[in-house]
Amino acid sequence: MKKNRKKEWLSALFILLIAASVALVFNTVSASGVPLLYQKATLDGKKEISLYEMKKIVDEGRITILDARYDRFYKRGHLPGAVSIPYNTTFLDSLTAGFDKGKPLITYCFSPTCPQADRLADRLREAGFTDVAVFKPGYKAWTAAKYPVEVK
Amino acid sequence: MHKDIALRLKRWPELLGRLFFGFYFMFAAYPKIMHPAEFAAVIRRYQILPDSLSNLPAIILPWLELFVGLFLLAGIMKTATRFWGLFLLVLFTLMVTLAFARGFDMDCGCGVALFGDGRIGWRKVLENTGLSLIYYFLLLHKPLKTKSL
Repeated sequence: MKKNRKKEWLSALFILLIAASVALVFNTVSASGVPLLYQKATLDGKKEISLYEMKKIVDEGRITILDARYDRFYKRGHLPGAVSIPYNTTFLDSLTAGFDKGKPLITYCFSPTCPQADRLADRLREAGFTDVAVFKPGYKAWTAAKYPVEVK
Repeated sequence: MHKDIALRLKRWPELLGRLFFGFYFMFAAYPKIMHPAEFAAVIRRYQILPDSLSNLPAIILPWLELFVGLFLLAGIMKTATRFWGLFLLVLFTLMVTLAFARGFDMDCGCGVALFGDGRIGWRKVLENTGLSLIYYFLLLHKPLKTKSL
C-alpha cells in the first residue's frame, strides 16, 4: 500500500516535470515565448525619448514603436520592429485595434523638426492611449548613428 | 454473464469522463500555449500572484493541462493524472470564486475561451464548481474499484 502511494507521488512528480520541461523548451524556441519573469514595460511618464534610450528600447523589443511617416518612406527603411501608422491615416481605430490602451507606444518620424510623430501621438492620446511618447531625434538620427534598420 | 454486463456498464461513466475531460483539457490548453503573453495578462488580472511571477504559471500550466488531457485519453499513470486534473479544476474554480468575492468585473479567460466573453459572476462560479464535482465523481470517486476500458 505504502509502496503504491510512493509510486503515485513519483508519477505525479514525473507528470509535472515533463510538462514543465516541455513548456520551458517550447517557450524558448517559440516566437510567442515570454520571459520567465514579467517586467512591466513603461515609459515612466516620459513624453520624449532620446536616441540612447531608443536603442535600448529597440534592443529589448518590449514597447511598440510606430512609424508616423507616409507608407512609402516606411517601406524604404524603418526602425526594427516598427509598425507603420501614417499620422494622417483615416483608419487609426482599425490600425490600433490590437493594441492595449494602457501599454506604452512610441512614435517617430524623420527628424526633430518633422511634425508627424507629434501629431500621431496627439491623435493616439485622444483615442484613449495613456502612455504615448515621441522619439524626437527620429529616423535621421537613428541612421546617422548607424543603428540597424528594417526594409520592406 | 450478467455480472460481466453489470461490470461493463459500471465502466461507462468513467470512460465518458475520461473522453470528455481529456478533450476538454486539450482544447483549453491550446490557446494558452499559443498565446502565453495573453494568458499571463489573464493571470495578472486575478491579482493573486505578484505581477513579476505571472509568466511562469502562464508557461507551465497550459502544458500541464495538455499532458493531463493526453494521459487521460491514453489511460496512463491514471491516479497521478487524475489528481493533476482535479488540482487544475479546483485551482481555476478557486481563482474565479476569489475574483467574484473581491468584486472583480472582468472576463474570466477560463476554460476553452481564453479570449471569450465569460464574465465573472455566479454562473462562472457554479459552472467551475460543477465541472470539478463531475470530474471528481466520474474519475476519482473509488477510482480503483473498476478497471478502465
